[in-house]
Amino acid sequence: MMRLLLCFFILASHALAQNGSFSLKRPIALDRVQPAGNIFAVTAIGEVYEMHDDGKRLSSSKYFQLPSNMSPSDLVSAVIGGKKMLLVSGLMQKAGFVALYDGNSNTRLWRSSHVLSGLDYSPELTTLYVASADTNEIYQARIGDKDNLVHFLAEIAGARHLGPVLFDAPRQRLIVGEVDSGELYTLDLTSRRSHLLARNLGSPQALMLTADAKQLLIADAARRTIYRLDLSKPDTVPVIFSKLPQFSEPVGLALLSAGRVAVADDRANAVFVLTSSGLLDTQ
Amino acid sequence: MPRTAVPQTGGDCSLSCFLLALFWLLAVNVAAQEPSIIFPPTTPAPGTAVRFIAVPGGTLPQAEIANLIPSLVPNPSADHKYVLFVDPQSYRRDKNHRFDIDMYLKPSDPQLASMRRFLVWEDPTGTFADSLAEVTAQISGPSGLDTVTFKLPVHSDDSPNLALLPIDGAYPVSMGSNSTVTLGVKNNLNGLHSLLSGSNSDIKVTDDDCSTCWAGLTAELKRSQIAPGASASLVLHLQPNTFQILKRNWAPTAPNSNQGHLTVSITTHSAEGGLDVPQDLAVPIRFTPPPLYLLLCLLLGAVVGVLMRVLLSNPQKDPFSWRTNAFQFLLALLVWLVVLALSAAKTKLTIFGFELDPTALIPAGIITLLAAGGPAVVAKISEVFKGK
Repeated sequence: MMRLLLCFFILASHALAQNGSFSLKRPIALDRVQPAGNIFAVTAIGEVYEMHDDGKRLSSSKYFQLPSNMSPSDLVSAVIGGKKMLLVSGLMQKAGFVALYDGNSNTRLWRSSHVLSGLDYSPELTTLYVASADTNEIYQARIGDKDNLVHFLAEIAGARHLGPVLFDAPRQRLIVGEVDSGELYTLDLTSRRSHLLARNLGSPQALMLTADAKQLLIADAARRTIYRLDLSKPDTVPVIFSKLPQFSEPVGLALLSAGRVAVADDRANAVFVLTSSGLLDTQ
Repeated sequence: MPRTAVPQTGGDCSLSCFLLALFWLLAVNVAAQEPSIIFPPTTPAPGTAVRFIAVPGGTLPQAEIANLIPSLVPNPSADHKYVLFVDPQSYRRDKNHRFDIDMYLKPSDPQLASMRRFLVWEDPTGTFADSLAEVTAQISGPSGLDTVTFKLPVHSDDSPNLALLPIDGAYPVSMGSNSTVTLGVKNNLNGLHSLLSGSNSDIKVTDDDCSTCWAGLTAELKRSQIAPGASASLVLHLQPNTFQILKRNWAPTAPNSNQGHLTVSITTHSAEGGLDVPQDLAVPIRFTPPPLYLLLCLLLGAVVGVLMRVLLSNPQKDPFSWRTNAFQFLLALLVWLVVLALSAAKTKLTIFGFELDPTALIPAGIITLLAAGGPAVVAKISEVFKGK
């Protein structure tokens, strides 16, 4: 099976980052197997791509296709039990789902009566965290549990529609985006209390920590901007990290080698590669 | 991090306070001119609401405006202070499955003619049929306040897009051979097309009560797009397992009553940004027997009736006659034909208090048995029923 996948990978390889970007129809989420694995992308039409970053260029190949009734929202790559796995959240048959993929085969499926949006995974706690797009609630599920439902974890006071979720491991908290009001919240995993982290954004759709976990990058779809928030200092406000004229609706982020950043743009049908200073990586 | 206080003199303070106030006033003025769009909630049906949320997305470069203009639909405001452009090509679901639209606001005054982009999200509450609804937007910006009314698609996240057109009774299904059943489905939506999600192979037909009764069940929607208020045929292709169906449906039932339900699971979405809505359509069915089986039951009933008649008769008074019995046999078949004709004319057939369907196997056999047996057999069976 792995050989077949490898052949498929090589044959299907079709896109190469040139001039800092490459075409991909409606990419909505990116993630990377840390610390230096391949990058995965999922598109709004349910295609999952694997990308290889050689330090200069990003090459991509179609990995597999999600079932037609799955409409994805987010994707997280993780190493679970020594295996490279993918978690995909979204909407299926009017209800939310999180699917666990080992290679291209679906091995677990969690359901929720709510539309599920942002997703992240804690390797230490072997727990997945997922937000609800139609409420202000966060849910969790442990990989080892037999249960096939996600369970209520906490609600974000003051929020209405949640989007991206990020597990902030050093601070043992979640960072959650409110997509309507343009706010970011933290959720302490011990006290389960939420606090406002940042406001006055347009619509945060993706979150990413830098390698040192001191900076938070925020993809703002409404403002067509990638913001940076310094988490090492209190009371800081998001500042512009990148505002390329090519951005149309940035909705996905992934950290590449040498501090470079991949940005999935849903409306531009492209993945842009930025340098560590936020410029288009044209090398 | 510790914060240090900055010592200030009185004179410096008055100057800095003045500058600060001036800056604040300028900032407020600029903020007041920053255009904003507010959509009061629209009510597509009682107890429901649709909120649109407009998030400013900044000023558009001239080159981008030139590319966009041909595809935009202009909506002038009531007092002609602004033009709100809607981009119908931008209708889509975002990564969080919310319907979003690109809108562009331009003041009518050429001096203030910068075009601003807004990302507009739909936030529906309650269940209503998706429709093309009139919405009002309140605009504030450099030209002052104004309102604009225009049409936008509104979507409920879970309203059924299709309705099964009803028929009187159940759909007849042959239990003896492959057959098709044509259902009528109607687009439930107001002003929006209903579109089949996926292909016909994604439509599933199941029988939850008896999955072994079928060797194959498929469906085909004859039109993948159904216009508002229009209907289309949904054809079911059925391959029955005759013996399984006979085993489960041997008992007589009233004509036109259901003998089961097929469930057609179909997923559709409304045009212009609707979500996939899966629906289960319950199709009542009634089995019709294979003609050969029906003929055998009729003949068997008539033969048994004649035999019973012979056995119950007194050989002295009523000696055996081939001619008479053959006549009774044929009469029984004729009676069944008459009952069948009456049944087609909505006449109910009730035997011993049971309403029977003459096209079903056992009732057909009972009719010919009683008709061939004559009064003696009927009287004997009545005695049995009355417990004499």
